Amino acid sequence: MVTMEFFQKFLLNPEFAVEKFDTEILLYAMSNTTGVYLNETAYLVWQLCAQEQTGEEIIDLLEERYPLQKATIRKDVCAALTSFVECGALIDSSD
Amino acid sequence: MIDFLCCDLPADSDARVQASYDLMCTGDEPMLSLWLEGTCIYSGNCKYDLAYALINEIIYQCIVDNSAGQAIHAAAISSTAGAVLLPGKSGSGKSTLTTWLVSKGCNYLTDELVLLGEGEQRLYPFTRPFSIKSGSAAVLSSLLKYAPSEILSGVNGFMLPHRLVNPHFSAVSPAFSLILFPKYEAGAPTSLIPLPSALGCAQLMECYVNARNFQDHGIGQLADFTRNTPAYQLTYSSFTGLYELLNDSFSELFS
Repeated sequence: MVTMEFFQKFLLNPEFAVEKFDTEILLYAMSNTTGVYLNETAYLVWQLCAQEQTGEEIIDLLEERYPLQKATIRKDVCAALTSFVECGALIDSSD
Repeated sequence: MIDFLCCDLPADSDARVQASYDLMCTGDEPMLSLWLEGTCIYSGNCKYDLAYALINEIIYQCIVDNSAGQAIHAAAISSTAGAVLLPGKSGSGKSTLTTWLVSKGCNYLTDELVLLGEGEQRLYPFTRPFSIKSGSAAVLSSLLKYAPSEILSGVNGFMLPHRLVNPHFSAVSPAFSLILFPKYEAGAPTSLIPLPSALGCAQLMECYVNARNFQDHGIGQLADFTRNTPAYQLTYSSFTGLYELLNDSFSELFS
């Protein structure tokens, strides 16, 4: 279980690459070809991580952009970040 | 034994020798052994275990430095609609499902390995006898009719010539029509769930065995396969209702 710190920035692991499908994304590790399936929300989180946004900044941005989904955005962002960190796709920049 | 295992593999007299194995049979109660360049790979008195070791060596040699296409740990069958790929790790139930599909009239291609043609929407199967694990034998018993002399059996399972399940066989390299990810789950209701292409690709990657032979790991090619081929997760615990479900969903599968 990964403990998330939402005020930190994350680094994208350069070992991971993205394969785009119509509305979905496959994030995969080039070293062992293991893939992580991303829905649109998770992919948006991934793109914002690439822009060096912290977890809280990502939540603020998405809540502003999608006010009707405010109730679930924090949970969705947390789930996406947790899965990225657990599979090694994101590296804690404080490490 | 070589004929039993390899009679349906394509013969190519111009192919280079990838590796050379020695099969030994010594003594009145034959002691069998398999050797590769002085290293003993199998030694014992069970023909099934020897055949199992040998076919795994042949498969390994076929993929170890093969960059002609993506090698996928998968079963495959074909019908008039084209090829159906059944990717899965050991224990996923792909051999059991494939045996059942072939018993229902589908054309057997392989229960273990396919090569996806580089730049083409076509598969090349490694056609070998069915390899049935002991745990699946009871499930398949009603489908299989054979004399003990027609199979190779051991404690862990048996190998069965596919023509004993369906005498009609056509050695083909068909175009794709469908990807079915089999999932045997005791007690689970039979279900067929369509998978988004990206998820299908992620699952296919788990069965992809020669990625390191490609500079870009061949993921783009794998993704193209899943973009162009519908993929489903098929969960089953018995064959009851399976024919109706598949026939309703894919009407040309059993035609």
